[in-house]
Amino acid sequence: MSFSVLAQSDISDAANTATAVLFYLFAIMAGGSAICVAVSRNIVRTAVALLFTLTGVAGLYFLLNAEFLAAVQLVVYAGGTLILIIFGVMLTSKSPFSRFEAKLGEVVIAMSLACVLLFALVMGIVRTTFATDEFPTGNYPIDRLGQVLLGDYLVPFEVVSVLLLAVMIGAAYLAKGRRREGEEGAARSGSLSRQAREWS
Amino acid sequence: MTHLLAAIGLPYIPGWDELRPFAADLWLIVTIVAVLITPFFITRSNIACALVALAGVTLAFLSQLLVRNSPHVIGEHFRGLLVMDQFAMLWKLLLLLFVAGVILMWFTTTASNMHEGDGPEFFALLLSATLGMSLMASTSNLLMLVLSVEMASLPSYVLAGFRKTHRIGAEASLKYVLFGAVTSAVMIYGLSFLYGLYGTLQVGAIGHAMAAGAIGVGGNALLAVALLGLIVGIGFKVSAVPFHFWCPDVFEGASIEVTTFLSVASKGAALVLLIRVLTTIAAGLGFAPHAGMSLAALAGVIGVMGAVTCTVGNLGALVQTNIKRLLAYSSIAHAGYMLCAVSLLVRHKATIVGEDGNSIAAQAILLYLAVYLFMNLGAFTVAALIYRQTGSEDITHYAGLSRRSPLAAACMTVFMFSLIGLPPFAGFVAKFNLMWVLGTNGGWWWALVAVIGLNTIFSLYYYVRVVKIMYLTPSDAPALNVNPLGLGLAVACAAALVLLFIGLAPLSRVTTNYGKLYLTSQTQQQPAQSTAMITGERR
Repeated sequence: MSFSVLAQSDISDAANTATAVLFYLFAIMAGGSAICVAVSRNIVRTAVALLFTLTGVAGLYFLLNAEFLAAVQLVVYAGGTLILIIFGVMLTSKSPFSRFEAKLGEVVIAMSLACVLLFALVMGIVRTTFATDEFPTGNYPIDRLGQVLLGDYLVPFEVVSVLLLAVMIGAAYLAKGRRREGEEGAARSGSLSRQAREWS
Repeated sequence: MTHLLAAIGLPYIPGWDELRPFAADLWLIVTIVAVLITPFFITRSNIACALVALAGVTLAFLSQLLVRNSPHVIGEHFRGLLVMDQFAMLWKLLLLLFVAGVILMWFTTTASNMHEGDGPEFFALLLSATLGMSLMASTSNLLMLVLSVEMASLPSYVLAGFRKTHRIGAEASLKYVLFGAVTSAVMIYGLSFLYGLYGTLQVGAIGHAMAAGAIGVGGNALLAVALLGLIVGIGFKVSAVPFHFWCPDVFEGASIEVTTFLSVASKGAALVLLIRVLTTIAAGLGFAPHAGMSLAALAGVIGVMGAVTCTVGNLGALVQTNIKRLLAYSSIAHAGYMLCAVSLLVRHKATIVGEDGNSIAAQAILLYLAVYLFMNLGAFTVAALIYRQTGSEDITHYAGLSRRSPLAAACMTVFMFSLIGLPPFAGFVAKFNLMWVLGTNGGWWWALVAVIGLNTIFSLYYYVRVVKIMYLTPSDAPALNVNPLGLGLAVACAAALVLLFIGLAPLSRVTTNYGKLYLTSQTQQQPAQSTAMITGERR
């Protein structure tokens, strides 16, 4: 009896230690590379550092038992958005290794503001007890997430769909090739609507 | 089947009672889709899309007009995510009326210049931004707040740079995106603290939680950061100083109907949202000062912001020669006047919220927006008509306009005098009402009245200068052959301003009746909490 209790507490101690180690690992990974993002002047390095920040945050989500959020973070941000950023840099910038130069005065003002804000936030966060819900244990109830999305949060879910449609239209419009004045554009849209009529 | 449904939980299907109050928003969504499929059937799609959009907005307006003040309508809907009340109703009506005016204006300005085939995108984006601005008036939840602000912002960024061959337009669009992205990020970061401190996304519940318990010194610091973030995000949309830098550049770079749209709809929606959120929080606190949450300080910050904003706007306008930049600075100034009135809403209950729940600040702002809409629509329409004929937005080219196009010059004079706030035009009613409301509350609000009065004198110079150039500067330029539809729109706006001045009693009565906000009472059941639902035990 006593043996098994002891073993259990050993196991939970070990698990706690592992969690703590992982937490600090991911936190340092996220925070350290976030500093790199801000400090680095090479835009490609910035993007790579951002990759580590996003992955570190995903790790923190895993530790909070929010597997779904962590997976989304990895797939959408670390996987998708970041690749897009790097492609965007490669396709738009004249030299992919372009550098940002800030004036000394700007750096001083920005640094002092950032330090004041950091101090306020750290002091605030350390001294505050946040409103916490019960910590989820075991499997993440993914089915509940689906139900909430189509239940209590139905309206935001639908509004997001309209928002994404609008953003997609906007992006498609901006990406559409810049047309010459006059006949070419008219010809293209004419043929498009002819096609559309035949199609319908 | 029933077993399966029981296993996955019954889906939530909103009833007719819940959908009915939001008929206008639903019509807007239908119109967006209709605009997108129009080019499949019609070859000259730009004009067709504009007509479809106009029809959709008209339908939305009519369906909103049919929504009655019944107890079914007023209150929280969709499990507390959206709110409908008289205040939101009147804003939606004003917004839809204004957007219909902007679409009419498009016919007179850009219709012939726009590339064939760009119409569907343009109107889909315009209507989605409108949908966002309409939802901004109904948000009572932080998630919906962020979504509706983004819904209003993201299409606006594209609209600002819609003329792709226009270099200044592209620069304006980029500036707008960068400013917008940063301020949104700051706002969402701030709101995340609100959620962390109180554990709910419902604004009403946050107010009650603030009243319920002290959160300590650290919590107060975070609360200050959170509210600061909210003010940054909304201040950007209002173009309040110091977040106003984008405004003149975007207004100059965007095509003129987009500028018109942003100048009233975007700023009005942001002000309406600010009133909604702050009043809901203040009501949760019982309009009383509370430990760690000083409503007086919040009012002070907004009041000072309003005073600085209108002063900077007016001083900036003094040196402008481009009519769009001049009207941009003028719109900053007007946003500042309205912000001054917003500072009232956190004052104590007796003077701000009457026995029947009327909010005096909300009334002042609704009245101001109702008048401001016509002034700006008209002024920009005349500017667009002149631009179409002369290709210039410089006010020195307005010389001799009284001879070249007497009606346009007369309309512009009406708009300028109304923007100053001189009788016999409705601008006087709006400004006088706003100053009256501030003055009757006494205290330091008298300082705001003085600032607004002083600013009116500053603004006299640059508005009257436009009139002076039109009437007194001689010019031998040929007469202008202005578009009759555009001139009709301008005359209608000018007539509306005179009519609203004559009918100031009904106007004031309507805005008083509609200046009512639905505020959750203390006894309201606890609304849905997100993480509690998600992380709860598996059933």
